[in-house]
Amino acid sequence: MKKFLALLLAVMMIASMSITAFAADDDDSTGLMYGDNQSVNTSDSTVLVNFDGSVPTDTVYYVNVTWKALDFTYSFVQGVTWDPVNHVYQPKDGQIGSWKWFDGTDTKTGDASGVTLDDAITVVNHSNASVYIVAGFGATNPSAAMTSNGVTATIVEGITSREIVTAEGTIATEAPEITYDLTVGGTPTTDSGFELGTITVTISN
Amino acid sequence: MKKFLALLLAVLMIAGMSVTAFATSVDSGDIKDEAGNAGSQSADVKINITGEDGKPLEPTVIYRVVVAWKDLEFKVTATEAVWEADEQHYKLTDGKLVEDQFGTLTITNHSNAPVTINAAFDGAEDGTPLVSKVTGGITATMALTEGELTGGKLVVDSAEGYGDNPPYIVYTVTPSGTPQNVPDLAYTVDKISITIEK
Repeated sequence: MKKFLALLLAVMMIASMSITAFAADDDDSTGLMYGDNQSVNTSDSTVLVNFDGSVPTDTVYYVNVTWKALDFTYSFVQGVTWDPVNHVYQPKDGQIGSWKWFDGTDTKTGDASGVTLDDAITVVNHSNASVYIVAGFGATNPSAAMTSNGVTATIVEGITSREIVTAEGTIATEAPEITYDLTVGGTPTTDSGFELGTITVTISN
Repeated sequence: MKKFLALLLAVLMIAGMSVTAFATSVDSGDIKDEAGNAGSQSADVKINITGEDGKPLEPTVIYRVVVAWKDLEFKVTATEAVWEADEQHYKLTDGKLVEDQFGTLTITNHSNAPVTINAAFDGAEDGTPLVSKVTGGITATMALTEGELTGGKLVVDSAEGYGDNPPYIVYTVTPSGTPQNVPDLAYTVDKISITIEK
């Protein structure tokens, strides 16, 4: 606790908040120490810092978005055949293929129905205010899913705006965050790779 | 935006706690960077397709190409038709084509591979496709109205990935001219042949 108070003092001095936090009143027999514009009340278990009046602060927005590789592979089994009437590949002996996600290091495998990439997108709020996040396909009218060539990618959490609370009161390595999972599934109707769509993460206050 | 955030992070690390120097602006409810860019980031979802062994899939190609002919019968009016036995044709008086007539031939590729189309009137010489033919004073002309030549060839894309809307091309056949001496009161201008190649 002493270290914390010392750190707090150092930060306050650097931040030039002009807080004489520890101009203690020696006559205070209760153990409370009063400053010019704040008080520090100590007890065995709690330290509270309160600012008298309003302290002007700017809202500083800093939001970090981390993407896993959004690179998915569908592997057909040998012997699948093209159905020229329905424009799909037909299974061979009941088998059609499987999904896999691979980023060069980590792998996650799925079955023919699809694969879910956990924490495909991580959004961390380092701001001193809450922010609201929407992740979807398309920036103007986002949707939670996109289908092309028989393949559907779905943002599991949907497109509802999600709040990330302020980072105030947290340390930088434990800033509040949210994550999005991405499921990719379906049977491709092509034998060539393609770009399924673009996910846009929009940050607002 | 990624560059902006990356720069922001770098500057934050260098500048320590001096975060207020890099405050993003707030306007109309959106977070923007100092250049006014909206607070957003984007990334593409990419799909790779392979065979079981991880190599490119090489499926057996199944060909299915559907050709649809429509309205290739044109109407002519005349006040009189007189058979001239010496010439063996009808001589028409005031013969003319009914206006705004055209026919089409549509070629749709349902195969899982591209196909190359050649369409022309019969009787081409020196290898040049005949796109028009005249008989009885009427010229039938065919023109490619949907689809494009690529390197001088008319290639229709594979149906893969097109779902219920497979790729197709359309030729439009339009009659013109004044019918005067016609071989019959119902006759053939000529035949159009289509060849489909891999």
